[in-house]
Amino acid sequence: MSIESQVSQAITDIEQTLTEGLSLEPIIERLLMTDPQVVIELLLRHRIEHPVFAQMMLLISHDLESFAEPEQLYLALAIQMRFNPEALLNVLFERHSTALWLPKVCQQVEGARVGYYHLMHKHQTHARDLPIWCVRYALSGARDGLVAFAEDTGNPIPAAVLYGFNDERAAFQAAVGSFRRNPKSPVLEFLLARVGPNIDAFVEQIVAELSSDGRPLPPMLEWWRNQ
Amino acid sequence: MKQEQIVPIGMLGKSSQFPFAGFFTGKAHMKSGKFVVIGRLHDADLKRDFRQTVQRSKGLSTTLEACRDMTTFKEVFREIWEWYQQGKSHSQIVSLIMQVVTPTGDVWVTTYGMSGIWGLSEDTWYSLLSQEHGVLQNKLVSDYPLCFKVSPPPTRILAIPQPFQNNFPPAVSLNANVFEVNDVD
Repeated sequence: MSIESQVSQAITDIEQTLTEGLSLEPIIERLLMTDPQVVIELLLRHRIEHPVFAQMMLLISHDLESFAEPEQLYLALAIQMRFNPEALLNVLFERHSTALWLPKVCQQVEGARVGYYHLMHKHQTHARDLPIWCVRYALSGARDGLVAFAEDTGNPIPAAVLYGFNDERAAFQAAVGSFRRNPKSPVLEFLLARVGPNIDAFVEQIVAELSSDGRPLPPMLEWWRNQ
Repeated sequence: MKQEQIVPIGMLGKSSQFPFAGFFTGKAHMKSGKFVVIGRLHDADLKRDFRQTVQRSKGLSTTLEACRDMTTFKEVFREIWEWYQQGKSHSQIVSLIMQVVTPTGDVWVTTYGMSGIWGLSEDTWYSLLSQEHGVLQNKLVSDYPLCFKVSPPPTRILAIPQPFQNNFPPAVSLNANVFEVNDVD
């Protein structure tokens, strides 16, 4: 039986099982044992697009890594798993948190906010490679995800990295967001260490923006203003 | 052709995502010429030493401002060296480099705490000073560091601070880990 015939047969069996509301587990387990390439073909060529099928693929993704490149595998899953992307990302970050292809897969899942979940994972696990991942996402064009990460955690690194890439607008949003989340965030310290000491004009913009909040300025900005 | 602008001058920072912790700078356009200064506190912690670093930049700017009416660049150099000595603790490695472009178009450099100084000319980097040169040996005359005229002026200058080895950095560091200052407004 050719691979195409096997794939056709598998599609018929799976669609019927899905229509009947039964578990896909027996079929997929059998295929994995006898013809794993059929499962790979179903997933990578998007021959079946169904949330239950996608969920099943995620469950066996560890096994599938033996038969397909992880990048291809998870990219295909990212396209299919729009209904439950966090489950996919959690699996990814647990197994491949340092893989250089991650931004591509995360882009598929997160769209304009690419980088947010990965950086949150790094932040929560106190990963030492958080700065380099901020740089990688910024280099790949990510902006909204980095700004959202700074706004939600007060982390100072996105502002410093974005300013270093000459995106002053996004850097400003990230810096202001960090200070609003955590007035003690070392934004200025990281900024100077990333781009050098010529940051006066940028810091003045941040001071002007935060002064309009009607709250006391973050302590470091107050100190800066008094120099 | 008469040199009118500062030769872009950079100093190498550490190999890190945050290479410029401990860097301070100042520049001024005054009677005796256009001046730029770059300094670096070695082993600065980006958080712990931040305030000290900022205060050095502010202090440097204030000192430069006070030199505005001095008529010779050597007086300005001496004033900056006195400021440098006052603020420096004995345990710190603080590297400093100053450049002036005089009204006559001469380029002079004075520096302390450097492992090497390089110039770029016709797309080629070359060492401006031999390793034995008094400037790189931190030699003092009348308690002041030496200065030297750079002639003909290169198109860029790169300073490698101590305690780094005087090895020319790879292209990636040249892009990411060099803090460079350009002309004075």
